[in-house]
Amino acid sequence: MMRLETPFEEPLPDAEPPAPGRFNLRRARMALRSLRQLGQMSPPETPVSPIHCLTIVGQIEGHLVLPPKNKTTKYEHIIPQLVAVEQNPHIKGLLVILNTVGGDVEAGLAIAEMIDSLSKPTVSLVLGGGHSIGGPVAVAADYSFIAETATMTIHPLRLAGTLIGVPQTYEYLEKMQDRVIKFVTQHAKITEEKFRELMFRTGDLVRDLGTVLVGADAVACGLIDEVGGLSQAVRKLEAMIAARSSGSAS
Amino acid sequence: MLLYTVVPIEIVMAEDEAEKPPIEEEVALPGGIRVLIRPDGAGGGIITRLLSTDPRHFLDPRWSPGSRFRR
Repeated sequence: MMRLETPFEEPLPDAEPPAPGRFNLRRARMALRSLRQLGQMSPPETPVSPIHCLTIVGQIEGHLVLPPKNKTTKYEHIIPQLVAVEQNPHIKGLLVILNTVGGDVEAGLAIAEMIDSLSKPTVSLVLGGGHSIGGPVAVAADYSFIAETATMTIHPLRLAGTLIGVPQTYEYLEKMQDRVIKFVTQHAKITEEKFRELMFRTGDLVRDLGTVLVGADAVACGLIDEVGGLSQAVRKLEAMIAARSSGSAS
Repeated sequence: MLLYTVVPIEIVMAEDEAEKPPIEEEVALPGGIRVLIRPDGAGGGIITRLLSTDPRHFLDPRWSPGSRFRR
């Protein structure tokens, strides 16, 4: 008689490298265990995905570690991932998913410049929110989407704390603001005049100058290319990858 | 440092002494996967975030947030 043994006592080596040859056996064993114990099938073995996905959520954290209550995306995590995407020949395109409230100007611009200078096709998708410094990151991709319900807030930069020299502070702030405006207007269809007008508009925001753009508004003013969701973003990226490979083959 | 965010600065910088969130540790796994874990003091921990751009890694139950991690 055959007896099924439940390998309860046999722990799986979680942190071991997926060495070639051993990996399949381990995976099969794990699948069998999950089937016996939980009556659950493990997810199917997926083929290597040519599209990688970068998610940027919460605050974009840069030079200063934010208090732990903030949900953050750290740029020291993002930058090496972008380098890996650029270097790995199996990766053909990058999908950037944004749901961010903004954050550090320099970290945001650094990520935006990295996405912009990536040699592979990139598509961004703003879900929920792509506020403040999320704007430059969204427009850095070759093509940008925004979900119908997603919002983007455009407002002036602010300095917190004590101001020592007011004219100097004003000039410094103006310079920092111009970095953001320049990047956005160079990478999106929106004109500098229109972007400045949205940035300094009064009467839209309670606490601040600026504008909230909801879905189609962001497309209408030329900041984002198209209203869409996940399937549209992936289709677009696949089309860009196909166009590029047929272009290089001929 | 210059913050450009819609969240008011006093909320971003608020430090609540009463409830300190648990410490997280970044661990590099072989195969290029990096995870954030909440250490359990015995060398392992609970995975809280998977730092990867490969969508396949997110389908693997071993790295999904909440899974136990042992060294």
